[in-house]
Amino acid sequence: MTLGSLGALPLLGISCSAPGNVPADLKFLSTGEYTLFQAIVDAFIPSGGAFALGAKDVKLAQLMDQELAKLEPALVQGLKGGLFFLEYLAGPLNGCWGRMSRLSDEDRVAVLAALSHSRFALLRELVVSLKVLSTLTFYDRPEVWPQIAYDGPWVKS
Amino acid sequence: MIVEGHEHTKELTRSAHTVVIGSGSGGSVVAHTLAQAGVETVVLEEGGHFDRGGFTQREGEMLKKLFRNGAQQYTTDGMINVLQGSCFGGSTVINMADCEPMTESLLAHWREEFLLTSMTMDAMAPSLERVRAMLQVQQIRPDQVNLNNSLVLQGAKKLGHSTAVFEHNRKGCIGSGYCLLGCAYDAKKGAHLNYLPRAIDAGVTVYTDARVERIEVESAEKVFVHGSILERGVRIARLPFKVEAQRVVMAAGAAHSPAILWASGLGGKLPALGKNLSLQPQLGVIADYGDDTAVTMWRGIPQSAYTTAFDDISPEKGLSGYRLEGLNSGVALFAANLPGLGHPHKAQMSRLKHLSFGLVLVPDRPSGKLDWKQDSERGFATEIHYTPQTEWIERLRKGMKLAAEIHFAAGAKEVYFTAENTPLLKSADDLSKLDDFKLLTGSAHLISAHIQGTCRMGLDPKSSVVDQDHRVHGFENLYVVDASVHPTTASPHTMIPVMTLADRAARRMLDR
Ligand SMILES: Cc1cc2nc3c(=O)[nH]c(=O)nc-3n(C[C@H](O)[C@H](O)[C@H](O)COP(=O)(O)OP(=O)(O)OC[C@H]3O[C@@H](n4cnc5c(N)ncnc54)[C@H](O)[C@@H]3O)c2cc1C
Ligand code: SF4
Repeated sequence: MTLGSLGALPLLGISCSAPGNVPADLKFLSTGEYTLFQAIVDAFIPSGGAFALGAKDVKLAQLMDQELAKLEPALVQGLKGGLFFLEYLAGPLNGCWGRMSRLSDEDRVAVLAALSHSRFALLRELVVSLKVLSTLTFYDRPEVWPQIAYDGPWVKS
Repeated sequence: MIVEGHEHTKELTRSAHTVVIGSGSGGSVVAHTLAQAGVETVVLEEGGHFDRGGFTQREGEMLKKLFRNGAQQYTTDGMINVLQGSCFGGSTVINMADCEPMTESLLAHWREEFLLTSMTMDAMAPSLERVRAMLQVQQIRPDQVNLNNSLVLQGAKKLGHSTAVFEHNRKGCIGSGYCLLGCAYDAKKGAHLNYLPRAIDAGVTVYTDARVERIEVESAEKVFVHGSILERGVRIARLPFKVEAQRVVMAAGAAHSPAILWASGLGGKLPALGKNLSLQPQLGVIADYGDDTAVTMWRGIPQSAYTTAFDDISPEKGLSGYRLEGLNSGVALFAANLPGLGHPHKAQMSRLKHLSFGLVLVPDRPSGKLDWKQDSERGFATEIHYTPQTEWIERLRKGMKLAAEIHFAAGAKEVYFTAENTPLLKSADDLSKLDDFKLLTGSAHLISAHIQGTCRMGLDPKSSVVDQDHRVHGFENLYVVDASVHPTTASPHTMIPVMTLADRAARRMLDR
């Protein structure tokens, strides 16, 4: 999946719902986008379950904000528009009223799962491209490796 | 000599007899061959220069450093991740070191369908021998086949399907499993360890972090190559460069050689530019072998075993059929391509040790094209348009069934694929579930490691870009020597074909 191919999505701002939890030194996302982004990556990789660590525990949203800032602009051109869609429209279109960042964890996962199987390719792509980037970043973290029995690189940096 | 981007303090202007654009499979061989013959040669490489000390075996870091777009180059519909190396040594630094030459049947196809009369095995043999010797190609030993790959052999054997173990260009491999991220032990013999150092010994200067943006053909003896010295990592232009040459050899890979020609205003003269794109897409298969089997797929040579039973190659059709190959892609990349999200995704990742991974490889007929946009920052941006053909999808489905059957025969408890809409197969009785499988954009995670065909070789300038000597139609001093010249997919693994053709092309240049 590619965030670049989401360029058709309009670029509109997301108002901030919980500025208190947002790091001060964001590089790519606005505070409103960050709140949503964090909620989404937590849904993709929740804490607990098969193993303890989740996105929250490794500050994945913050890590990804820094990573996104380093990507070539063409690669992330559609992301902000995509986030706007997810925040305001994705819930209502899937039977959950309210902004994505304010849904219950259960509803948020259900909406994202529904979108990943949507009949509209662009919506599938939006969710799956975010999932790809989130999981790629999460499973590259050394603190995650023992949880999945991966013994990590042989080269020690 | 290697000159890295950060070493430049002012605009670079210089001249050389030959400029080679790109230092991968094609470019490295040509630079070496010309330099050995005493031709003053300069290589311009967009990517950075890294050596074993810089290969950290960390996916997040190395994918960004060594791959085009940080391994995030996709077809425009987002379905296929088109992987290409972009560094000193090009894709040879990050590839899987499988060595599979072109066959006589394939060349016969090129002769019959494209009238490429000079493409014979006899003509190719000396080049192939030189390439094999330089890369130290040898058979992967049975003790080097890890369990992940061995399961392919075991399952296929039970079903009576023929298989093989690759030849490879590794020597002294300790089986770390990180070939995709560059070999920290210099065991994988990519061009950065043989062709390029020897070319440099023979006088070649390689400029890394040097992106060519256009060429200007002034006459049959004079070409100017224009571009930018880049800031490593972000690839932002720092300083301009201009190199004057008598001959330019394009080896920027099948996505970028045609793009440079287009950005140079040659598209009008070359109607086939960017057309006839082959990607040979591959779909991942995951098999869970249960708690009693530790597959530990991430250790050992990542790719060594494959089925041959359903390979199909003929003078009429070229390369067709389908096959299963074992593969370790790296843990984070594996996670990224695994279907599902939330707790179910985590549950699968918690079973990592027991999972086997492989790719269903299905050679395609050319069915895509490149397009370009002007880009103020980079000069041009390439778009990769590709639509899998119905016939290809049918072969993919057969390949998926083969993969599942093999894994169940080898003892797998569950099999599924890298697609969000994958059915979960619990036994070989479930294979019919694949009959309804739909290949959807935004759902299937396909990869391509073999982009080819966009400067097709042929006789007619209307339907091809280069002639049998790799010369761009209508130009005396402009050549293309990378995977873009293949009229159809040259092999299930394209490094050796590109290098063989490049060796031959360089000698034809010297003969002129
Ligand atoms: C992940 C992966 C695994 C693979 N595994 C195998 C395998 O096991 N066996 C096998 O046979 N094949 C394999 N391949 C395929 C094989 O490596 C390629 O087909 C082959 O290297 C292509 O050669 P090339 O010369 O066309 O391009 P490349 O080797 O990709 O080299 C092109 C170079 O040109 C540079 N370049 C691009 N644009 C510019 C520009 N504007 N200015 C300057 N430089 C530029 C790039 O940075 C790059 O370094 C694999 C490929 C990948 C991506
Ligand atoms: S598996 Fe072998 S060739 Fe590959 S990175 Fe490890 S040591 Fe190098």
